[in-house]
Amino acid sequence: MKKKIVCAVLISAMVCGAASCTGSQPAETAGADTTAAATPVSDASAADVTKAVLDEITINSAFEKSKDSLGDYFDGLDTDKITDSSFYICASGAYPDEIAVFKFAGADDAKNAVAAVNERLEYQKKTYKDYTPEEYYKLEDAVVEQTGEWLVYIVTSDNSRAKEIALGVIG
Amino acid sequence: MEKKTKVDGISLAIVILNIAIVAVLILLVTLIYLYMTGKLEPTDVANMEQSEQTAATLVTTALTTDTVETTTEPEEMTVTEETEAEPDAEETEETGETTEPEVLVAVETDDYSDEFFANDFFIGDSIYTGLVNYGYFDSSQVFAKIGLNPESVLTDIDDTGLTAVGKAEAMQPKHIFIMLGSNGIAFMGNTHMAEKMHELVDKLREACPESYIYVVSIPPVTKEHDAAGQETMVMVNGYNKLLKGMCEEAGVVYLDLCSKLQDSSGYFSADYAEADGMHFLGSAYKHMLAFFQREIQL
Repeated sequence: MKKKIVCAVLISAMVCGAASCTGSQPAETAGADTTAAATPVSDASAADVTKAVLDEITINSAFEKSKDSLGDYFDGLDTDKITDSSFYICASGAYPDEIAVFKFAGADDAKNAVAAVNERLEYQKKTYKDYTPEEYYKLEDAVVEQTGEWLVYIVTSDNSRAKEIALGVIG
Repeated sequence: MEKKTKVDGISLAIVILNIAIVAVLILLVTLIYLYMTGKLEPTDVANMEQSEQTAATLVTTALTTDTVETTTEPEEMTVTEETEAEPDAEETEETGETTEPEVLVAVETDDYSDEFFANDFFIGDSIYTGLVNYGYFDSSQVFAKIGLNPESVLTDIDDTGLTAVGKAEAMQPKHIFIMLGSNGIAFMGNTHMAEKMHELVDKLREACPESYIYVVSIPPVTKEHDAAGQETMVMVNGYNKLLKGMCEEAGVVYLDLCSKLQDSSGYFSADYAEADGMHFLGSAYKHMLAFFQREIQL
């Protein structure tokens, strides 16, 4: 065991020494995304919007669901009308957190989809009200916002900030 | 020609620095080489490999023993699992090697086959919603709802209007896995829950006579969750004990997943536990499915 430790220390020293020769740049990118979060992105994709929100607001066990599976979560949503989407849920089922961003061909299609999203929200409220009452606040001020051809649905620990970020990216 | 002569002081310093670093690296490599060749005997390496192979064999043997006992005497299955280290200790004496629990963990891989579960059905609560959420299975193979318990599962319906038993009946799966009770241990009586599980098993048997039914223990909770007091390990163990007894009585297989998710202190391992201390991280599902497959195949 002692030998293994000594070898590990020596190898670590070698690796560190070699790394110092490469002249690698210091990590400057970490903070860059956070400032860009609320900056409008021209021709932003739905994934740009969810990424910007998730860069700042955490969803535990966040897992992205494909467009094919939207029907499992949004009953009555006409997925054929969706031209771009990004949907994250708390996959463990422990928390109600989720964020969905849908883009449609036109504003009318987006408006028509609001009912399906509200139905999802009501289902979640009914589910979590008794299940985890301490998490219910996330659903109380959940965001269902249609703007032009976009439809945004947000349930997080800071919905107002998440909405600000999302709409900021959509522009 | 002029360029060659224009080597300034900084460039020279960089060259010297690089030469120095390379020299240090060569020295370190030499030291390691000398250390390894001078102190470590080849037999040690051979013994290490042999030790790992022995551990693998022992794990396979232990798992085989579990399965055989599962199908005949479920009561003894957990006893074997709890004392899994015993045969290791015996083997250790013979080979003169020290038992390393880490090796056992490494040998039990989380590999499983999608094909193996292709015609199977899962019934559970919010934890099993993760099977669909994480994309392990299509929703047609899972009946899972947040807050579901052994009593409500008998009457709750999904968005197609089917109960868990109804959905199973329509599917006629090869294996049915049921994991329910985590939601009830805080407010429902354990005996009542075990009775309801028995009722569910009976109904499934009637609806799916060709299916193999597996009742899965409820998972552990983390130390922090336990300390909060709502659901504790005492409650978890108490319910699982009754569940195991029910399986014996009903003649179905009890799968002790709980012990597979525990850390050395007996609480839900941080490797698998969601932040709330009760639900699963994505890795836990893989671990669970690999365990199911091993138990059934061996």
